[in-house]
Amino acid sequence: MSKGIAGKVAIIGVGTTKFGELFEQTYNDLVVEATFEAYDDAGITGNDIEAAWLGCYLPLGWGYDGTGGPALAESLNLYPKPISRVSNYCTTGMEAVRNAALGVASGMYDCVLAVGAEKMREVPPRGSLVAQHVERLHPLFGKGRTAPGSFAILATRYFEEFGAGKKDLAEVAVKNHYHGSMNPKAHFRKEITIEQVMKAPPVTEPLGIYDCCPTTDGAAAVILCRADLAEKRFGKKDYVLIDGMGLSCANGYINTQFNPRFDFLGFEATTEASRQAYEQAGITNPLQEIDVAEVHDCFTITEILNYEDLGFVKKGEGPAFVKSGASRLGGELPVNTSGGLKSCGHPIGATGARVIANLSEQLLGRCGERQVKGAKRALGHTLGGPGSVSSVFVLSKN
Amino acid sequence: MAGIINAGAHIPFYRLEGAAVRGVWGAGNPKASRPIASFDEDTITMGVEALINAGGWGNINVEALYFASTSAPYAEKSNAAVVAAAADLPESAFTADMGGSLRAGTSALRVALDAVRAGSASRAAVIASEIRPARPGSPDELALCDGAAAVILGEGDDVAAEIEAIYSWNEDFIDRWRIPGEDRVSSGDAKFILDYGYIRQTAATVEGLLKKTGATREDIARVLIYAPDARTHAATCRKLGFPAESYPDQPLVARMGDAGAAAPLLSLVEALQGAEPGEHILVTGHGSGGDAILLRATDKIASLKESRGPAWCAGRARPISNYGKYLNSRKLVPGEELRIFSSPSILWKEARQSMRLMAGKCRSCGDLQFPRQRVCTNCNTRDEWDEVKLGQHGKIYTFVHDHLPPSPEGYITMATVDMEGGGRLYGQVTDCDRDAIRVGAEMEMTFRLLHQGEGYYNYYWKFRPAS
Repeated sequence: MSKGIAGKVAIIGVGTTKFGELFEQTYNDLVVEATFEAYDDAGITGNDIEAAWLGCYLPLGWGYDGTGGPALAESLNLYPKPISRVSNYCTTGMEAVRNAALGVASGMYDCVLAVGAEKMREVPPRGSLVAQHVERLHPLFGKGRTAPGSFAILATRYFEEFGAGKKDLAEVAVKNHYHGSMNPKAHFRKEITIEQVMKAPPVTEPLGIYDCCPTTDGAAAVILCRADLAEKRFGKKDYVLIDGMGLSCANGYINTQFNPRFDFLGFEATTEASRQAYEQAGITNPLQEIDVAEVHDCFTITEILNYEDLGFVKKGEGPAFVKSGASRLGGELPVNTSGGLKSCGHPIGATGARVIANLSEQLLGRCGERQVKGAKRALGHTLGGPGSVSSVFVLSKN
Repeated sequence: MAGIINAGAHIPFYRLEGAAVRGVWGAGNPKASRPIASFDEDTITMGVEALINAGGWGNINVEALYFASTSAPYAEKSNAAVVAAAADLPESAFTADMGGSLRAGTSALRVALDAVRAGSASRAAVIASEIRPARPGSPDELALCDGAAAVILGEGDDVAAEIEAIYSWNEDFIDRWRIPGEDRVSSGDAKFILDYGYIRQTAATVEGLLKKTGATREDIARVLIYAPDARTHAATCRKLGFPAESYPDQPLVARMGDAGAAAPLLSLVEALQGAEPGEHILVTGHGSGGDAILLRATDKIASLKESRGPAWCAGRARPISNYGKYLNSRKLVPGEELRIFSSPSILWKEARQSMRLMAGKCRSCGDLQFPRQRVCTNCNTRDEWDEVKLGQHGKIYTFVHDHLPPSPEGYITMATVDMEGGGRLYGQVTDCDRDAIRVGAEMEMTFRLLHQGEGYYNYYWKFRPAS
């Protein structure tokens, strides 16, 4: 058996809920909607699922459900199947898919389910954003750190090093809002201008409100099977293959900002996770070999850094890349055609699964006006903690 | 010869100006500029600053610490032991908390001197630290002063100011008082307490000292009287018959206000830093009797000039931007309620790291790491560390102004700072002008109250611009 994942696992069904402030829906509703959409897409029922993984980052942080595998079994009546919950910061949803893929690739299971779900808006945005860092974590170290703060602190250094500025970041927000305006399932479906971004109230300077993704509810589901069964057993002519998947923990959670070897100009976790995925997928020139990408734009600065860390462009060239239109729909490598985290929002456990679902739809040509014509190879990326963990998938159409 | 070897002070960065108070209440001394502890300061943190200013960063070699305050954060649980940890005193040092009277500062000095003379401590540190409470709009709001002073006593050739004599007496007297939990100082009849309390009692204290030592008024170059205001200071000196040139026209109380138990030591530190060899200095503490202390500057007196004292602190002070921020800082208006996690067992087991800022230097590869891991993040060696104290200064590598966490400032500046001598530290910035924060800016460590998670005080270090 060859090393690596390429050619072993197929994605035969995906589903996503509408992302947004879903005050009328429970965690249970989100899981059911996303999963049954994926069942329908795959043409299967829950009876075909042999094992499942739930990605839910912090169930007790803002809601009450999703604490373990039984929470998924309960929502979907998947008793008494083997199900576990995974959690890996903001890569959590992708981690559910990765573990599901490993379950298939190991030969243990033929058909499995990965669900990512997070119900964040049972508390105010401040309750989730601030409480995690102010009211929890180590009593002393890093007190005063917030999620946007731990990315904005890179923007300060990046500006210092490369002479970039707030306007460069605004380009990312404008592009992703433009993409999001065409995605019926996005949280925000409104175009914005550079001026609006520049004038927006500060959140974590130099980042303003439009540089940050919102706090959102949502779920996404992915059904995976042995690649050789996609057509033979499930009757799929068109499906998606996992060519490569990498994961890297390149820094700690508390001590990232204390690390003297961290240059605050990019994330080694992304570089390493993409190296693993590219190697499995046989990719040597990502800019040319990848047709569409979903990358982790939790904050605008992050997308700029992702371009560089994923090897699309060299260090320092991220701002020019977005400004040139290369990452816009119709450009050389459209990035975040879903609208990204900026427009879709970032239900933490859901995001990684949503990325895999959206890219699968691109590869199968189902994206309507957002469609990247002839997309054959896709890259999905998530980044978690203060940039300490990253997950990268390379997908292709069969 | 026993006396003062080192001296330092800490007076807070922010001032409440008369104009800000008048803008809100329509009254108040327009010339007042009252030092106010920042939202992240208390008498423990100010005491740590003062002691580090006196004794230096790490290796303060004293065998006893006397911490005096009537406004210590803990009514039960040692305040002095927190100071000892943060100032990195030896664990073998005797620590004692003193309070209950505005005389606590001079009382602590006397007790410490006795310990040095008796040989129970070769060196002893004395801190007097106060945050003086006043109700919004009351005259005390501009008349009181927050601050801390520290002196280190010892014997021998290093003594910069010999303590020649101390005279103390007691007489119960109700002039000003505060019951635990009260948010203001109460006063008796103003005329009665000034004439019969402050002036008469202090005169008796000084007369007692002069009689005991045989010193004359002309022998004393600098007279520092504890008084609640400048007029009482002058009136007491006049009543005692001191020549006008021996007492300051503008004593500390006139410039900053009444710092309570910290006042005598603050005045003393200021006077010592301006004194010439051979000068005699008289300082008094007051409260139901009094303490009078007579010192003589030795030929080492100039060694005290370099320390950070009241003049240094005054040089960097800023008016607080508005009265609302002052109310917020002092928790005089209700703030956002936070339920911050903390754990006594975490604080205890990590104290050498978080309080004394001990980093680990890997014996195998020499890498300096903070917080220290079990396994070296550079070379993977397990548990081979030498403890190394982080430096006091560093340079900003990068930073962010974060508007999300609650803070009286409206935002919290977080910075990653490369420390002099190695190691990188990430934490909050305090007491600064926004413009001072930039990549490459020189910073220094300051010990602060971080939060009150679980109801007790959680202390840690912050950065502020180095001066």
